[in-house]
Amino acid sequence: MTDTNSPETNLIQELIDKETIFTLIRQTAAWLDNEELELWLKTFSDDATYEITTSSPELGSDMSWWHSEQKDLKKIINEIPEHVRDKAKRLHLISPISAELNNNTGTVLTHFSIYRTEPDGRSSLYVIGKYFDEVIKTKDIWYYKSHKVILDTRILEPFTHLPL
Amino acid sequence: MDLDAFNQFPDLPETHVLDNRIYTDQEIFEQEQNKVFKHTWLFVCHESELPKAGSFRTTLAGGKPIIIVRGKDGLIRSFYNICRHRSSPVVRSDSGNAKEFQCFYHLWTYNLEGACTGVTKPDGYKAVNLDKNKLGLIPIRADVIAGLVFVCLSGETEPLAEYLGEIIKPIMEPLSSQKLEVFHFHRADVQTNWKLWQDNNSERYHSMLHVINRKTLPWVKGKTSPMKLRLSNNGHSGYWSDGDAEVDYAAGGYSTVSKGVLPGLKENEMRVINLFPDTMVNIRSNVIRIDRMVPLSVGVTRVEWWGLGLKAISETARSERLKHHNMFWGPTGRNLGEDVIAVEEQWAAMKSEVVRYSILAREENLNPTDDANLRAYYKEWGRRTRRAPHAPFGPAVRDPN
Repeated sequence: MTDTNSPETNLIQELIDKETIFTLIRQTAAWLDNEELELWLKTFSDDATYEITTSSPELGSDMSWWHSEQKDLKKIINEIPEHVRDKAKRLHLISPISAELNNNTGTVLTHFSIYRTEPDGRSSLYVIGKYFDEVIKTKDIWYYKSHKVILDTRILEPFTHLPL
Repeated sequence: MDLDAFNQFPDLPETHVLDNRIYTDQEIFEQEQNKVFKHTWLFVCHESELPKAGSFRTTLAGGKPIIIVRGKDGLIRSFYNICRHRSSPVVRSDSGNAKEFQCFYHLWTYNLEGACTGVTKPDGYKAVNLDKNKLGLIPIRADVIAGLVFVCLSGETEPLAEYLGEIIKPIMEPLSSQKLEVFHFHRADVQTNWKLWQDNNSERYHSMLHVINRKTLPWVKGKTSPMKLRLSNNGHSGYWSDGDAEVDYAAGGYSTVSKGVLPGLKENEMRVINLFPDTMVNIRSNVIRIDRMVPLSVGVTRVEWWGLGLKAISETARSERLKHHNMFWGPTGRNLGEDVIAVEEQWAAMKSEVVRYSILAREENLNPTDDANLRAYYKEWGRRTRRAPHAPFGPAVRDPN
């Protein structure tokens, strides 16, 4: 008979949860790379937010370049095909750093880089940064409650219509 | 196929045609630095970026490194950011606050008014009677209108207010009747000639490039429009309405972002002014965008973008303003990225020299998609460079002044 509250069981559950969350983050990146944006959107809880931030040494403060509630993201991603936009393919490289869980919520830090490959085959580093995410488990599925992109890169060439 | 057959001068007035080499020729680019950027007032920052004595910003103006600093007396001054000793940069940060400036190399010091206050190991100069009082930072003219800080590298150019003339009036109340804050600044090195970015900012004919504009700018589509181009002195221009041209955010499904207008504006109103040679101020209801250009080479332009709004507003209003700004502008903005792609691909194609001439021939009684403001801009460009925009390698343009 298994003791569901034993330290061992709790540890195993925490490890399973952490691996599930890291899988969520890797999968999120893969969906962005493949522009499967409907699937990307399903990783958010109903009240979630998505944000891209960076800092400005000129202003001496942080800046927010994109801040959307989940309800607004659908309209934005639906209009992406209508934009004149960067034609390059993107590839995320993801490096999970830490996850701190507290029952059904948690905070997760991930390092990432995104490479661009242009239609003629040239590849280059596009941006680097961190994801700082707040996650929540609902009906055994982990979702983003806050998916925050903190960019080290401050000059985007080209600009982006896609989430990062 | 002989390209010359396709590159005959168009059957249009000379004023309605540009020779594309004004965008691609190295000699013209170098001449512009001397004849345009050294003799015009250039926007460099907003006064709120220099909130107290010692606050400074550094940037390039006319290709030269400069410091802009607020002195102990509250005045904003500007200097070349070059030490009088051995020409090292005195300030190596983009912004900050200083009690004095000290060159990092040999540690000479300057006060906020630019005077040289300290020479390291001064005894070594006694034999030659070096007078540090004659070795202050080289000053540059600086002035402020509507919170906008301008510099001018020439002592001969008219005062700023005279240089800007009437064009500044529609933005005076929104920009100067309450305190503003800069909440956004970023830059990018755009692979294009600097004038193509100014063209993009000036002409509304391209605005249907943008998904959001197609849904929200009904006054761009019609044959007549309450939104009118306004032409001013020195090649400055703008466009605004006298009350009836509103951006139709609701039609695009973007309601709420534009709430809380700046002083003197109506709800959902838009006003834009383009200052010769390199600055745009674009106001949409509750948010202001300012562009300036730093030409780095004939085909690379550093564009700097500011986002500003009222300082004393609620967090809710601040959040809506940010969404409004980022919806159009910024590196993840829906419109700005399209504009950058447009001017970069335009310049790359232009540089191939397959097509010699650009056509600026729209005449629509100053409706927003009229080219009259571009024609006025290039008339001024020709006056300053002494080159005819339609024939830049022909006879020099005479200055009517």
